[in-house]
Amino acid sequence: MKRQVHEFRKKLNINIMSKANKFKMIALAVVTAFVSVNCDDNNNDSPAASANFSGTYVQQDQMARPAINTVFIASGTPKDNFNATVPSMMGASYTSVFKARLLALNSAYTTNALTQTADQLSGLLATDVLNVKTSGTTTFFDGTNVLTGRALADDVIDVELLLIFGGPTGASNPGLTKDNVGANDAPFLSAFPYLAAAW
Amino acid sequence: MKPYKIIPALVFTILFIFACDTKKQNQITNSSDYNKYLNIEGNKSLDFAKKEIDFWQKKYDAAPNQDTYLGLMASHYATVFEYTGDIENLYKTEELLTKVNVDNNYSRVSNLRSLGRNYISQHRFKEALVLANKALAIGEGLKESQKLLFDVQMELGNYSEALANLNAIKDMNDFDYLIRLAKWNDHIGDLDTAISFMEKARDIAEKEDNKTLKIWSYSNLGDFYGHAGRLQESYDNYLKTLEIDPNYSYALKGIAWIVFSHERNTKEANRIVEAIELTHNTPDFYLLKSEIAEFEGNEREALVNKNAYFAMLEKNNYGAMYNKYNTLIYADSKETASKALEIAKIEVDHRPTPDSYNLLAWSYLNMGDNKKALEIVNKHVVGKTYEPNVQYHLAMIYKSNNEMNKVAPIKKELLSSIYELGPNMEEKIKQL
Amino acid sequence: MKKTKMLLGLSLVAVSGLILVAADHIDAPAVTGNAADITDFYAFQGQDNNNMVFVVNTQGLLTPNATAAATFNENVMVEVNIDNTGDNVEDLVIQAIKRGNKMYFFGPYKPSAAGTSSTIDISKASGSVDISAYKATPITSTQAGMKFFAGPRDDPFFFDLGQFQKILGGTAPQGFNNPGTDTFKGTNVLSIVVEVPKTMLGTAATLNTWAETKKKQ
Repeated sequence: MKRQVHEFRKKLNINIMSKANKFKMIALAVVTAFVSVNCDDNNNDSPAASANFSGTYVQQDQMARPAINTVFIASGTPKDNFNATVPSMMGASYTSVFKARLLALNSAYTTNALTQTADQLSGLLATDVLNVKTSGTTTFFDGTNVLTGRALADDVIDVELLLIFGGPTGASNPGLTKDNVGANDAPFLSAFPYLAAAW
Repeated sequence: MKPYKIIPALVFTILFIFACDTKKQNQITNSSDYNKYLNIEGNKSLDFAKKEIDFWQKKYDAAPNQDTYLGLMASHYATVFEYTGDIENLYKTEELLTKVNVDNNYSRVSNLRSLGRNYISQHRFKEALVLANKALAIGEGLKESQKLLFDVQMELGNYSEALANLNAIKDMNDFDYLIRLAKWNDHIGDLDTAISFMEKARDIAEKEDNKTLKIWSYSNLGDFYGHAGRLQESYDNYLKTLEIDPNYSYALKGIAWIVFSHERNTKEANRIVEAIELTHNTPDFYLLKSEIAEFEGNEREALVNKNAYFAMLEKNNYGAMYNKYNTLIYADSKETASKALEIAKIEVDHRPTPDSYNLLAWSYLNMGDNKKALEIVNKHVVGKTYEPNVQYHLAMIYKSNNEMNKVAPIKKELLSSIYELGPNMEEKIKQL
Repeated sequence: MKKTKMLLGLSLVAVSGLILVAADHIDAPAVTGNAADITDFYAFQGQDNNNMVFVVNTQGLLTPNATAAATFNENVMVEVNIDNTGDNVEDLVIQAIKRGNKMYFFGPYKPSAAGTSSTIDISKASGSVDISAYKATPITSTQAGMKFFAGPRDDPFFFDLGQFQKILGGTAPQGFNNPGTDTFKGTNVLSIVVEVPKTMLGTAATLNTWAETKKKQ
C-alpha cells in the first residue's frame, strides 16, 4: 500500500512539473500576442483589440436536435460518450444504440409517418446535427417540410413523439404521441432578437 | 509525524521567551477586520434559497407530476441547512430526493448522487455507498459517480477503493479532482502537498470566477493553513471568504478558533461565537463555548454549555452526526465510559476508519482495559492516521502500557499541534 | 456530584481540536449552475429572408428571482458549428465569448482545426454587443449585416418533461395528460442570438449545424 501511494505521488510530481512548464510557455505566448496587437495601430478598429482571447478552448457540451439525448440514449455510459463525439463520427457509433432505444421505447415499431424503418430513423437521428435549408421555410416539421431547421415555435417534442410512437399512420399509441403542450408560455417577437422577454 | 510543524513550534518557543516584547507580533486577528460580519443584517443567500423554494413549491402544487421541481427545491433546502444549521432542512432535502428516486425507480444518476450526498451529510455512509454504486452501475456521468465514491470510501475507511476512484478522475485542470487529491494527501499525512493542491484548486475557482467554489476554497484553505501553523494565511483566507459571503459563518468560527487557541483571548472568542449562534445554531457551538469556559477555569459555565449541548441533541434528531463528539465526552469519565464504548462500537460498524478504532480504543482505555486499547490501536490505528487528537490518545495508550519509548516522539510532535488541539490540551500534552 | 462536574469538565479537554480538525468540511461543494450546459439550439430564417438566425441557450430553469444574478462565464465560449459540405465536419464557426459586460463575436470563419478543441482568431472579429440586463430593454447591435444579442430571455422551449419522465419510469401507463404541463413555463435562460447574411454561410442548399460550449484550459 505504502509503495503504491509513493509511486502515485511521484507520478503526480512529474505531472506538475510538465504542467508548470506548459503554463510558462502559454504565458509567454500570451505576452507576445498582446505586444503584437498593441503595436498594430490599424487593429484599433477591431472591437476585440482591447481584450484577451488567447488560449485553447475545449469542448464541454454540444447540442443540435432538441431532446435527442434525452429521448434516444438510454441512461448509461453511451450518454457521456455521445456528448463528446464529433458529429461526423456519431452515425457509425450510435445508430445501433439509437435503434435499440427506439425499439425499447416502442417494441411494436414498424415504420413511422415518414415511412422510415427503425434503421432509417435511427440512422437519421444518430448523427446529431440540426439541418437547415438556406432557402425557403425553416422548420423542424410543419406537415410539409421535414427537418429544414428549427424555429422557435416548432413543437419539436410532438414531432419526435409522433415519429417514435405514432406508427405508419400517426394514429398508434395516442397517449404517447403528443404531450399536449402546444406552444410557448410567451409569444415570440417577429423581429430580432425573436425570443420573448424574460419573466 | 509532520516535520513542518517543528518550525512553528520553534517560533512559538522563541515568542514565548520574549512574551512581553512580542505580544503584538503574536496578534493575528483584529476585530475591526471582522466586526462588520458579526451582527450582519439579513442573509441574501438564505433569502434567495427561501424564495426559490416558494417559487418551485407553488409550481409543484399546481403540477405534482413535475419531479424536476422537487429536485430543485431539495438543493435549496440543503442551502438553508448550510446557513442555519437547522437539521430539519437536511431531512426535508432527503424526503424530496427520496420521493424523486422512488418515482423514477432509482434510475437517474443525478438523483441517486444527490441523495447519496445528503446521506453523507447525515453520516449514513453505508447507505450513501449503495446509492453511489447504483449510479456507477448505470454508468452515465461516470466521473461524477467516481467523485462521490471517493468521498464515501474515504469516510468508510476503504482507502484502496478511494484511491482507485481518485486515479480514475485524474485531471490536473479539474477543481473537483484537485480538492480530492488534497484530501488524500492530508489523509496520508502530507499536509504541505495537500495545501499545494488546494491552492491549485483555488486558482481554478478564481480563474472561473465561481463564487461557490471560491468560498469553498478559501474557507478550506483557512483550515489547512491553520493545521500547518500558518495562522496569518489562515486568518486572511477566512476574511477572504467573508468578503465574498458575509454570512458564511464557518469562516467566523475559524477566526474564533484563532482568537481562542492562538491568541488565548477567551472573551473575544466568546463574543464571536455568540454572534454566530444567532443565525447558525448547532450543538457543536456549545462544546466550543464549554471549552472556552474550561480554559477560563469557569467550570460552572463549562457545565452549563455542556448540558446545553446534550439538551440540543435531545431536542433534535441528529442521527449519527455527533457520535464522535459523544464518544469523546463519555469516554473521559469512568461512570460513562461504557456508554462511550457502545457508541464507539456503532461508529466502527458505520465507518471502520482508523479514527473510529481510535474512539473504540480510547473507550476501552478509559474503562481500564489498557491491553485491549493497545491491541486495537496496534492493529487499526498506528501509521494509518495523523490526526493530532488521535496521536494524543495513542500516546496515552502507550503510556498506560508502559511503552514510554513510543510516547516521547509523539509528545514532541503534539507540542507543535497545540494550536490545532486547543489550549486546554497544552498541559495534558506536557504531562505525557 | 462535584466529582461528576469535574470529570465532565475535564472531558472537554479531549474534545478540543475536534471543532477544527473533525470538520469533514471537505464534503464536496454542490454542483452549481453550469454555464457550459446548453439547453437548446435553434437555426431558422430571419425576418429578412436573406438572413439566418442562430440561437444558443444556456443555464435553464432560471426563476425570475434568479435571473438578474445569472451571468455568462468569461471562460466558456459558445460556438455555432456549420458544415456546408455535407460531411458533418464544421467548415465555419461563429464564436461568442464574454469579456467585461460585452459579448464578443467572431466569424463565421473557417477554424484552423475542426473538432473538440478551438482557438479564437481575433482577426475574424465580427462585432460585439453589451450584455442586456434582466428586465431592461434588449440591447442589440448590427455590424456588417450581422446582428447580435446576449442576455436573459424567456426559455422558448415547451415540454411536459415531468410527465415524460414518469412515462419513461413506467409510472404513467396512461401516457401524457391533456392539458399537459409546460415544465419550463415562467422560467428564463441566458440567450445568445446572432443573425447572419446567408451569403456568409456558403452556397450549400442545406447546412448541418450544431452548438458547442468550449472551456478555456
